[in-house]
Amino acid sequence: MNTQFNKGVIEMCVLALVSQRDYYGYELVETISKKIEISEGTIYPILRRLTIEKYFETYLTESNEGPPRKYYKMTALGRQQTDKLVGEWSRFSTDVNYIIKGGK
Amino acid sequence: MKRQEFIINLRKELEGIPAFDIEDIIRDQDEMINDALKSGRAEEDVVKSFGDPVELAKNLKAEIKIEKAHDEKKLSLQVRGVFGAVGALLVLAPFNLIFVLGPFLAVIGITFAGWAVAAAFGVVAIALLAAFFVEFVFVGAAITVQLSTFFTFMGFIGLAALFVVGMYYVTKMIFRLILSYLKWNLNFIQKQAQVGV
Repeated sequence: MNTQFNKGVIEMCVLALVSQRDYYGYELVETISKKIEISEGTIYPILRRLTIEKYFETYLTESNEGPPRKYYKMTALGRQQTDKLVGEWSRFSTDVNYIIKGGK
Repeated sequence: MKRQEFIINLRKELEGIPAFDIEDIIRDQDEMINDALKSGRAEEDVVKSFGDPVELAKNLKAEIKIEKAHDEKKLSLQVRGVFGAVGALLVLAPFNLIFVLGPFLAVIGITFAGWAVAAAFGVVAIALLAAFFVEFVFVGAAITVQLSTFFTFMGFIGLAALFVVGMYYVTKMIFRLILSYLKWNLNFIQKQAQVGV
């Protein structure tokens, strides 16, 4: 498919994933790119911004396979933002689906 | 492009932000490249999906400069930080000549005019003080003339001080507003990029 979506959707996907458990960078890329065509170059600035906005905290964990990994962990502020975005999204998609089905 | 080349280019392009941030970004990129390679992808392929290091650096630099200016408590440092952030946004998106530089210069001009008025009151006050001394020491003018000069001087000093204090707060508020706008501008640029589904 070559439907184009705004990057805001990716930001919401990242928030939704990290709200469920802590993730490291590449793990997020892998999970999202199973469904959406996305690259590291897109995800990384989003991760950095969400951290600067204090939606995420980060911590380093030693991994047994090489150098330490940086994990992203959701803050209370991030949870608020996630709830808001996901809520808006589900209302929007419900409305769009309703219209697609002919407004019935 | 090979991994080494990507990292070297990125590091070079990031110059101008604190070393701590550069090291942090390089560390993150290294980690992600490692993970991507471990999943079995070819090096050229992986590096390609990390994007153009020049574009990535411009983006991250703008972000970090805005954030640094935002966190700055001292007004003079914040003003300097905002100039840096405006520069980074111009490098990132040339259309910002219109959307950032134009309005920015206009607002800076108005702010500067406010400070110029404060300075003018100050200059008048100093001139009056000089006049008072001349009248007092050399001319020996009547006491009423001397007093009136002195009180006018006091008035102007008061006005100048009032203006300086007022302008300090006004400038602080203006730069906070400018920063909010810059943040919004960067967010807009970042979200414009489209992703395929």
